[in-house]
Amino acid sequence: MSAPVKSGKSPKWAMLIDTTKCVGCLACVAACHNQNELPVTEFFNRVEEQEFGRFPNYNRRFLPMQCQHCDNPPCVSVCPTGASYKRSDGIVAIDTQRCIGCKYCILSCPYKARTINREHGFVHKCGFCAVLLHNNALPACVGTCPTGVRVFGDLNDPNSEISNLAASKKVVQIGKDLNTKPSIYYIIG
Amino acid sequence: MIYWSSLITFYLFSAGVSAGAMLLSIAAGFIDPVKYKRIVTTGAYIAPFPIMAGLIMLIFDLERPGLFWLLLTTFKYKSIMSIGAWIITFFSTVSIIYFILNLQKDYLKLKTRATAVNAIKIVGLILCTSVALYTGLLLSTLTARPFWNTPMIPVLLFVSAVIDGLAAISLVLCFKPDEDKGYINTFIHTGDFVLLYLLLLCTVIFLIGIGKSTQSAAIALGIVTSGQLSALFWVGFVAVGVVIPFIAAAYKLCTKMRVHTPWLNFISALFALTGGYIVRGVIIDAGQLTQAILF
Ligand code: SF4
Ligand code: SF4
Repeated sequence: MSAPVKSGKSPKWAMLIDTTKCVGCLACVAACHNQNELPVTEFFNRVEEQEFGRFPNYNRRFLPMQCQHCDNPPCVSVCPTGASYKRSDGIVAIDTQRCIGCKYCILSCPYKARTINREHGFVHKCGFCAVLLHNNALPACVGTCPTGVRVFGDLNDPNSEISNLAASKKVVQIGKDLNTKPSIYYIIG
Repeated sequence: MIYWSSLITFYLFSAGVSAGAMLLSIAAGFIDPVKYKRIVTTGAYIAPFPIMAGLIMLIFDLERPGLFWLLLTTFKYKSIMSIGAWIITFFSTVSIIYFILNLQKDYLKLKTRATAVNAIKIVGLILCTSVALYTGLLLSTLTARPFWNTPMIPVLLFVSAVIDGLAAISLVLCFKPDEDKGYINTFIHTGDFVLLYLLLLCTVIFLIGIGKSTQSAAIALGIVTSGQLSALFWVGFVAVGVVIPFIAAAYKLCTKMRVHTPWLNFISALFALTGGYIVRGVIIDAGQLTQAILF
């Protein structure tokens, strides 16, 4: 997979997560921890294990979960200081200098994507590895996944893989009816 | 997981007491300033203080209390918390002015212009209504929290705030001998009776609504009515906070017991306040313990 190329327009980053390929190895969780230098108790992404059906038609799936970089993000609208904001490239970011740690955004996020930094008291979360993107590299979780669960790219580039996938019928957005307009698309097996 | 601790519960409660006390004080003054003078002054003397204590609690619930001033250098019209921070600031200011106005009428005896005083009262009325409403809207606007995400929450907390304000006034009046020929007593008991009846109604509508809502809302309801918060809810809120004060008020109205019975008023006010605190605690916790089920 190639690194995200910037088309003429400013990008609109998005991700696809194909849960049918996820084996639950947690390599993305480890890569995320490493990339963001997180303490062991804080996570930006997680892999939920879900069981469904009844024996003998019983099955289990892994559902990677993280900040969905919502286009209508409740965390941004509730933030009283403007610490949480939406960037023009679609990334929902946090200005940690302005975060007073009121935790309102944590309570507003339907995806449990946010966590408190216990050392400094601000709230933080997945930022789509903006630093890596800036250097034309992929987010750590995308690059590290051994089974190719994650596809990352620019929705403003009509020829990108993510644009085609996002338009296809098999993808869903989780929690769509809460009107959050997530930037992460899922294929659920 | 619990992110907002009992400090937030206390804050919501104290904001309710302040807003309720001021609302009743101003309203009583508009109805009959002579007859209800003690309601007017007692409410005015109470209003600024609970919320100040609450604000200190609120600041200490922040992970970074030293940065709380950022709330007052920003205004985000989409954020109920930001709007609330400004409402609280204006409310505190106006409640202090209103406090001084009453103080001067009683003790300082300075000359004031009637139009200015009325303007303060009207602004005060708008502000205490806003305070009492915003604490509920803070919760009810989060779609991620099914137990909070219902229009009934602000209504319920509003009614509860007025009850708490009335209870605080009644509690203070227990320490002053009766000199009102029963007017004040009738005001308090009628208020209690009507408001507690409304609160009971709101609670029933809220519980039925939550129970018939989404699966996650039903889980939250289970926690409240039969799970880990049930003792607090049934004993602390329903019995102590609503039913007992309601019966006390009904009893006093029915028996036309106009003489001031400080001990009965005292207990019933204390119970109502306890219930007002507990119901906020239960709501704050139940909302945080449950989350919208997404998949
Ligand atoms: S997933 Fe949560 S934290 Fe991320 S943008 Fe949406 S609401 Fe905000
Ligand atoms: S915790 Fe920080 S980022 Fe979240 S709403 Fe409060 S100030 Fe904004």
